[in-house]
Amino acid sequence: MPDASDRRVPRRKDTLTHEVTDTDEVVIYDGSGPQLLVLNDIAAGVWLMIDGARTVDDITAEILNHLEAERATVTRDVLTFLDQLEERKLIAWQEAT
Amino acid sequence: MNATGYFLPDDWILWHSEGLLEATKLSSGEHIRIEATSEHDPLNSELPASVWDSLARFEPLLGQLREQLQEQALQPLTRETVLRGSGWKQLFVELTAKCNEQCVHCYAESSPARTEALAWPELSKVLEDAKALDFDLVQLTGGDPLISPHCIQAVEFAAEIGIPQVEIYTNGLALRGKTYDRLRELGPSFAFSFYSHCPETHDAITQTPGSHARTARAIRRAVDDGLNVRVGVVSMEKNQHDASKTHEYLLGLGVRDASIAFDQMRDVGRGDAAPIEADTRAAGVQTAGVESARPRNFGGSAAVSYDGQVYPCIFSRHLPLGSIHDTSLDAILTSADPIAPQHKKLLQARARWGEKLSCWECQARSVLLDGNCNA
Repeated sequence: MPDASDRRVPRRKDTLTHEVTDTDEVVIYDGSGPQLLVLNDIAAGVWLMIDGARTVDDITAEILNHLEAERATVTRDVLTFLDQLEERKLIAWQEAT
Repeated sequence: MNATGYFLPDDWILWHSEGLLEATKLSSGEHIRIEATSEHDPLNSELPASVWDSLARFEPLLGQLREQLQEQALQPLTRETVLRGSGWKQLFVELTAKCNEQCVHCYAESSPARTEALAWPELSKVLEDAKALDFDLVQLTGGDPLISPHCIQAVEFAAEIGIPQVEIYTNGLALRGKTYDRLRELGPSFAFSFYSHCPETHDAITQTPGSHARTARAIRRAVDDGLNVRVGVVSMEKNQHDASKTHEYLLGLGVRDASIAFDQMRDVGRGDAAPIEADTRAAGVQTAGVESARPRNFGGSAAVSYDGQVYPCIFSRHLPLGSIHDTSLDAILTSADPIAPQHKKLLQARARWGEKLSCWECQARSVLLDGNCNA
């Protein structure tokens, strides 16, 4: 059975800034906390693809292009990470246009 | 998730759990929250420099934290580290509850009728513990410490065992005769309590006729003899209107400007029975600012009361730590009891520290030790 498609689009909170380190981590800064989030390279890759246009499906597909992994596993990991970002109010969801 | 608390000199409090670090700089109230995997945890000594650089670019505070982590060892947050802070600075020792005055605001509720006092064996042990803990300063207070039969003995003993500095906090009424002659030889510092240039106002606060003239005379003599003298003026409704004239008067006695400090009455002891009016508290009192301008870095203090009870400070009587009748001062102050995470309460309290009279160090200790900011 094919995976259900996920056409939701994650959008970063406007007040966030981030920086990519020389060692490919991403440091996200939320000045309203203030709080900082340090992402490892996989999570950083997802974060950098959150551009307000890509859907969850798009992000998952891009990762699968670069990783040899089960689609179901990648989909689950991406969703888990995005849910964590939502819990921290770092992203919001919108429907694809 | 259980967090472990750490103290980092000068005044950092860190709460750390897997994936999360909350860092608060107590003096400024700045706070930062960092989430990361264990690999990128700021307390992981292997954290890449590039990540630290990035963190510090976003938050200069983290640049300071990084420097501190490089220079200082993290100390688990225990009752001892909370009390000691950046190092043991001042131990208050109340030799006696008895006083030859009966000030209307006295935090210790001292009076001529009180009889509680520290006996010499326990007092000498307290001084030995103060030396062992490496306190910078022991202040002998009370009541009036000069009334205690052990005051001179305590100053002599402190010098003998090498306590760096002893200060006698007194109204000066008993600073005369052989007592004065011996103390002048020993050379402790003196801190005098004084209330007004106006004898009637001063005597009304001390409830002791003639006390103004006697205290002024004691101050003048100690200054003239080259002793180290400072004067503390507690401001309250009765005397705050003439603070400027009192300041001038003290300068006229020869007290150095930098050694005159005005402080607000605290709602402790008899001060609690005369609540501080909000408008009285807010009114501007001229101050030379010895206390208020003193750089603070969460230095450690403790107080031994005349009944043997130990507190973090003379004003923190809501936080009894133990009694020297049951165990030693050393054991009371060096307890390794861990401190439960209190960062939310600490931040809530920190936002209101300026509204209280007590110093931020006492307020922080109050939150850390009992979860409430009652200081």
